Amino acid sequence: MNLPLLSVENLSVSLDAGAASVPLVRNVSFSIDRGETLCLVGESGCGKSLTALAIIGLLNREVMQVSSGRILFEGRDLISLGAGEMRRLRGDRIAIVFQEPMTSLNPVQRIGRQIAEVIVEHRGVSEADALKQVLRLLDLVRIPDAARRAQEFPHQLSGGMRQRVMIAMALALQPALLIADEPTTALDVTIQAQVLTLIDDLRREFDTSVLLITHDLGVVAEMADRVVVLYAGSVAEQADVDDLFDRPVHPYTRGLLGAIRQLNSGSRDRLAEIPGNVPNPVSLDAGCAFRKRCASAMPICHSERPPLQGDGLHRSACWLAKVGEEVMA
Amino acid sequence: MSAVHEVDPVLEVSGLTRIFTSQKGPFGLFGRRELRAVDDVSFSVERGRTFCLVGESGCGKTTIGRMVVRLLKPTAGAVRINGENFGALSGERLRRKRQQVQMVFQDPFACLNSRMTAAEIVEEPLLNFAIGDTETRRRRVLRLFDQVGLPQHFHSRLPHHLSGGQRQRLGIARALAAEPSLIVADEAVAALDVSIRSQILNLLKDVQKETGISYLFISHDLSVVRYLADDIAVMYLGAIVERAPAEALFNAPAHPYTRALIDSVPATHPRNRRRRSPLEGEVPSAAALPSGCRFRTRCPFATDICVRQVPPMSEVAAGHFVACHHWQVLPRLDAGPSGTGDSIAAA
Amino acid sequence: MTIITTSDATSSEDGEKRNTSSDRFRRIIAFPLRQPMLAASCGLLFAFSVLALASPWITGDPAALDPLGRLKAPSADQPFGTDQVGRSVLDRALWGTRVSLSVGISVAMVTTMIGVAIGVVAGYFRAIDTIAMRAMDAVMAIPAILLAIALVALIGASPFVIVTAIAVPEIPRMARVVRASVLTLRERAYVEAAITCGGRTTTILRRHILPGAAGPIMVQTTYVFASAMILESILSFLGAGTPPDVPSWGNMMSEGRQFLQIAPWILGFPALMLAATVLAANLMGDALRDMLDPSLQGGELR
Repeated sequence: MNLPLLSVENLSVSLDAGAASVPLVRNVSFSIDRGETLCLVGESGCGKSLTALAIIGLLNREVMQVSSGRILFEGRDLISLGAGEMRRLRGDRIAIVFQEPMTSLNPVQRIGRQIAEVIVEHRGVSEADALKQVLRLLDLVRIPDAARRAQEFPHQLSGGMRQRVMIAMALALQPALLIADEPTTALDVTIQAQVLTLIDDLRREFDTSVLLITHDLGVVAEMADRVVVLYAGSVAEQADVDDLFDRPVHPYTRGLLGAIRQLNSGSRDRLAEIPGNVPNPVSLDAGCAFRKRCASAMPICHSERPPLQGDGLHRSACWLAKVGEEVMA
Repeated sequence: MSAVHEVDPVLEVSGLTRIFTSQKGPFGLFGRRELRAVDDVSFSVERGRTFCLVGESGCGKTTIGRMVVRLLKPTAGAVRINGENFGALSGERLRRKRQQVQMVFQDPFACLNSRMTAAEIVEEPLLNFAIGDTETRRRRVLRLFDQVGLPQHFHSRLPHHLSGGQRQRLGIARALAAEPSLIVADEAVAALDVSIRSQILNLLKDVQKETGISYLFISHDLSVVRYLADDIAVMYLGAIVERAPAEALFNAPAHPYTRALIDSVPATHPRNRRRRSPLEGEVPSAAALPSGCRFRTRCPFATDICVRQVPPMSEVAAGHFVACHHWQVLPRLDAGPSGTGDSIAAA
Repeated sequence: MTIITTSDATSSEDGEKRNTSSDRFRRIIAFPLRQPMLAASCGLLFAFSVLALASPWITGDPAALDPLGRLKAPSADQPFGTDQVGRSVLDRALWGTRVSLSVGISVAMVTTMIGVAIGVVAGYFRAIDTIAMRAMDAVMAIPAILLAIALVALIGASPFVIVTAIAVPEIPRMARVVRASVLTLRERAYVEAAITCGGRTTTILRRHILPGAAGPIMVQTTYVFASAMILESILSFLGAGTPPDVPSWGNMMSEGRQFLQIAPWILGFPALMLAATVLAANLMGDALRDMLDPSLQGGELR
């Protein structure tokens, strides 16, 4: 078996709040193979974006730090890389697309120049050559009338077009890994469908791996090969996408899946709820983070955090699964 | 055909139009730019029912909501609340009338004054409309807390000590406080996490069951609309392109845009993944509307007549209206009644 | 694995204690540590105020002449020395504190009240905005000193005229600051919510808009306070301010100017006190601004 392109091992990220340090991501592990799409799903504050920022080395170092774990990318540990090496890697081998493209584009520079700059900086080609490549890239992300669009400023484009520009910029150097952090959340549904189709087509064409971060299980169902469900900074469940949708184990995953199925079924019965709220990371104790919202919480859930267990492909962090196994055995 | 029933609209919107103008060049030397955000929109919301406005950003749905709660004055047309034209009122009469229409906002963080406690926030409309004395108001606030599922001991908390879902509950309690006939909810669950969204949707339904209140629910999310709506209007570029009872709209969408919207909803299971044929292009600017049918620039079925003539509202079935020249000859939908594509399951 | 158990765990589900009295007490104790600049400037201004209030009891008569002890350099007996007619510079400088601070405070109050009123009206009622703000621009176009001198020359020097003359050029600046924050606040969702909840305009302004603008207003008030004291000294120095028989810092500097070569302390000490007060006020303004501007605050757990 080949080495995976990216493997995150026991990653923990913590926030330094004064004297105390608050873990926001705890012991997260997953890996992505070449040409594969892995979805990191979870609600706001579950640590999914922090995980992405940790991979790409863009954590705000004044307040956040990787407290343990390794991030192996093409055999190198990204955490031990220096800032300069990391910068060379970023954009070149790993590219990222954020939710709100407007904040990542320079508002006073024409978009053609912005994309060309990335190519010039990393490949050392002349600006004229780079601009030629830019037109090809804009065509690739299906921006009509590329030559004219390249001369425009970001505010002249719609949200969907800007996200295409971001994708073009991310793909400029044919990275091995594309990280997309909620790339379609700010977009309308019809535009979301366009952008998702585009990302999937490009992944196929260039054999790029995609780490897609989203809160939307619909997007997961459309895009993922494998899924990691995060809850309160830890992995709740991870599995192949079909397996996860067919046989969710963790009560949280079940609740989320139930909610979207019911909403889309056309039924108007009362929705099954996950009661309560996401816990504050400061208040997490030794027990299972989900137990206060869980209908099947047992005594052990209050005292001990369930380990991630299961077969190699489908693993979940829930005592119920453990009990189920023992009953079966 | 449904039985003829007593029509008792809480809200009647007729010919509602809002034009935003901006000056071109210094002091408007180069004329004015007109932006038709809402163009001659009519619909009505019946008592105890939920009417949903659906559309993508910039379609004018939020502008309609703001005119209905009278945060914006209509350029033309009427907004009748319980028979009285809200749009034409001003001064103290306008303020008093506000009691009958309340609003739930999208952003549960921004819509609450961070300096006021939860109880003060809910009490505010009671004070403004001079409802009850101190003691009745206090009891009423606590009852509202119960109604929206907030623990009573939260009454002295400040908003930033509450989670997003709790804040949205507080916003709903505030909207209910004055016992309005209509609540306008603008993307009321869009900013919430998935696990919280179901809670709030249930709450909205429960409240309607208990109080018989009507909702004007504004959303871009078709699955939420499908769950909540009795009647739906689909908007595109400031106008309604299709209006129908919820079932009819999802089972037999008549307008190409409605079909595209329904087609764009992501699958709920990876097996139902399929190659979508998403709409080409983007929404044109409301400052330069296309001639004829406003959807024609993106419509796969557009013909000459669509360029020349604005399509009239045709009645497809009882209560089901569509603004399209070609609704009769459009190909049948193969997606079937489910609409979300689930029915083209593993073939 | 790190497990954090803190006493003030902020779980949003179950009841928690906060705002207890010990908590508040701890916050007051920690205040100078978190905001050293604000604490130091507040302390300095407080000390000056106490001196100003207490000066009738702690100093001798600032007008007492001592023809024999003229132009004496600072000594143990006269820490700040004496002036050309033998008056104690220390006593006069302390009395001057009263003049400066009372002019500063009055101007700050007048400016804040009128400027806030104009700014709120201009920011909230769009119809009045253009007219009000163009009028403010017109006032701002006149140099403050000239306007003040003209007013004093026209009506004569009385405390009321001096305060007015200094306040008038400051009002447009205050009005602008307030208008700017009202303009952004009135677009906030919670203000719109207050409108749909049937709030009267006065209620909305009082409960929702003014508290939101309080930060920028406080900051601007401290700057006005500082610049009013400078302006008062300038006016006195030019002979257009406080009557010459009143010991104000400006008057003292004006008189001391002629003896700068032989008795620099006559001018030097009031100048130092003025500088210290103004500096404290400005530092307080900066610290307040930093504290109240959320964009300058570090990442906090939400």
